Amino acid sequence: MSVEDLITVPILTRVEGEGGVTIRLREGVIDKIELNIYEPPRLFEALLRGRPLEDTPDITARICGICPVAYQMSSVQALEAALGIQVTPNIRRLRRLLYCGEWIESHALHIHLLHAPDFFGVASGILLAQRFPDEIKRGLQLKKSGNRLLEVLGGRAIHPVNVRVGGFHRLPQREEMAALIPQFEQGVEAAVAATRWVAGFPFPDFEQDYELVSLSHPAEYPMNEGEIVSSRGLRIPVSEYHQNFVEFQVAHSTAHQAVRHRLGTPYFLGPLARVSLNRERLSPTARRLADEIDLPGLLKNPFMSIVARGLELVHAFEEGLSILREYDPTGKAAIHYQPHEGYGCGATEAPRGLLFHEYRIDGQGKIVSGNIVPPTSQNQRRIELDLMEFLTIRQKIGASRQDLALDCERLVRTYDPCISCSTHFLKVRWDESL
Amino acid sequence: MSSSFIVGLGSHHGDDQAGWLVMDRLQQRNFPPQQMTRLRHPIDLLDVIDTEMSLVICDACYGSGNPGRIHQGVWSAENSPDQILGPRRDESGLSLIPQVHSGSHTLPLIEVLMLGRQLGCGPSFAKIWTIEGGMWAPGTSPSTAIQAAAAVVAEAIWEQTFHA
Repeated sequence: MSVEDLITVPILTRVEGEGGVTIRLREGVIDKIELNIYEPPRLFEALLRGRPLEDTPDITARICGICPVAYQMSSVQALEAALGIQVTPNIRRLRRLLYCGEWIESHALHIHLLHAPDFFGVASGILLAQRFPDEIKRGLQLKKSGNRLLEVLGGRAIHPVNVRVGGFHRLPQREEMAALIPQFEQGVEAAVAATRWVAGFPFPDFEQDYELVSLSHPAEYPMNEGEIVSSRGLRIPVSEYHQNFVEFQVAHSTAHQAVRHRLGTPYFLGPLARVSLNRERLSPTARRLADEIDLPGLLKNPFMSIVARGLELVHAFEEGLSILREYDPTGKAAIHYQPHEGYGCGATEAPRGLLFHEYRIDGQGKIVSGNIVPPTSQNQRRIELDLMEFLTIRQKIGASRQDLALDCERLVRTYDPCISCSTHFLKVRWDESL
Repeated sequence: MSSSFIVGLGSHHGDDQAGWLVMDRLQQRNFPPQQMTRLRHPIDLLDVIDTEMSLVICDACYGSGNPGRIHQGVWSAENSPDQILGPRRDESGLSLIPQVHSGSHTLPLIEVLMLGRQLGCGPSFAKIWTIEGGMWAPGTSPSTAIQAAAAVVAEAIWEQTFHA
């Protein structure tokens, strides 16, 4: 009779929702790995039904505490598609600026306090700060610039409220935006230094043949718009999302997983994919830096996501700076519209990957149905397969059970998923069962 | 009058609004706006604190009583990382404040205070008020017990700030 043995990570703490990991061993060999996530996106979708479409950006923004802008951007994209609204170039640029603020906040935090400690074998950002105080201070300063931008353009730092279907509720005054320029000038330099720092980290020797997926736009680094492309040749409009990707349920998780439609294969979203697929559209400084650090053309090592995040940090500061310098507050804050029946979908690039929204609205402008596919659920299956591959390699070279549990946490964190991006104190429980 | 700086931590999720409700109450009493702020994530404390500040933090917590129960304690850089020592409002003697509810994608409050101290940008001491919550559903209103408790905490902070 074969003996089943479990390594259980019961709860990933301090996260939105709850998650855990179970490693099943049979005859001492890793047999199966399950990632459990408990998130409430369906609750939000149900909450939207029957409500005025104007409520959608602010309600969906509350799905995630760190990337509310992503939810606002994807929801307004989808609703504007349903209503046939074309925003002005100025509004479009300001939306990119707002997204820059969110990427800065999210990436600066993840790089310095959540991910970097893993490369030095320390359990938290506090311990890392003892060894690298200047680097951690620099990271916090970078994050602060993102916060400040959200405050000015988004209306407040807690949860931006200035986004509306058709544009913004109000445009900031020129002086408010100009006041951000000096910190963004410094931010470009600081982000370059931070990226050089992380590029020198010791990365585990682990590469996989991923299908990397992101938006791609002919003229700009992907944030708000573009086609969906992949490293295996996929190129489709966002409207064909369901013909190419499919969500499904698994018994061990309340969150959906996603794979390529018909192929049944997992795919990889996030900075690693975006940089690999859009490197030539990074800002000039970020592009030069990628060359300087000899970044491979196609990134296959998930641990190098921290470098991709660094490059996007540089990009966000540089593009943000450019928009701030050219800011013109004299245009329309929003496009007016008459609600009518319709359907629309949209996808934008949240800090951790492609975020798809779709809505159907009735003739009175009320939401009939909504569907939200967050990046973490799309990455979930890919994470499980990575865990399987990586931990099997580690086990073969003699990693202890304790090391395997730590490896598990480190690998999950490279994805910056909602379930573990703040987790550095993983409680591991060992179960033996016959 | 002391120059305390009051921070309300919270989110839009049910009783997690406790810290923000305290700020609402203080605002209604015309508490100086430059001496108070609302934050979503504990990590954002690092944007507003300094070493000389007399810091007071209000937040929701869970796991140690019925909704609305109030705890008051003190964080000191000299304490062990997981401990905030202080008398519970309804008990005598010292006890531990329960885990402060932390939002998503961030570091918990005590870790942020320790990090601030480590980096030389935060105070060595903070007063912490927490209100026990029981309902955290996204987008819902706080319970009446939490609203009542927030009023009590705001009153206590007002008294300590202006009449201590």
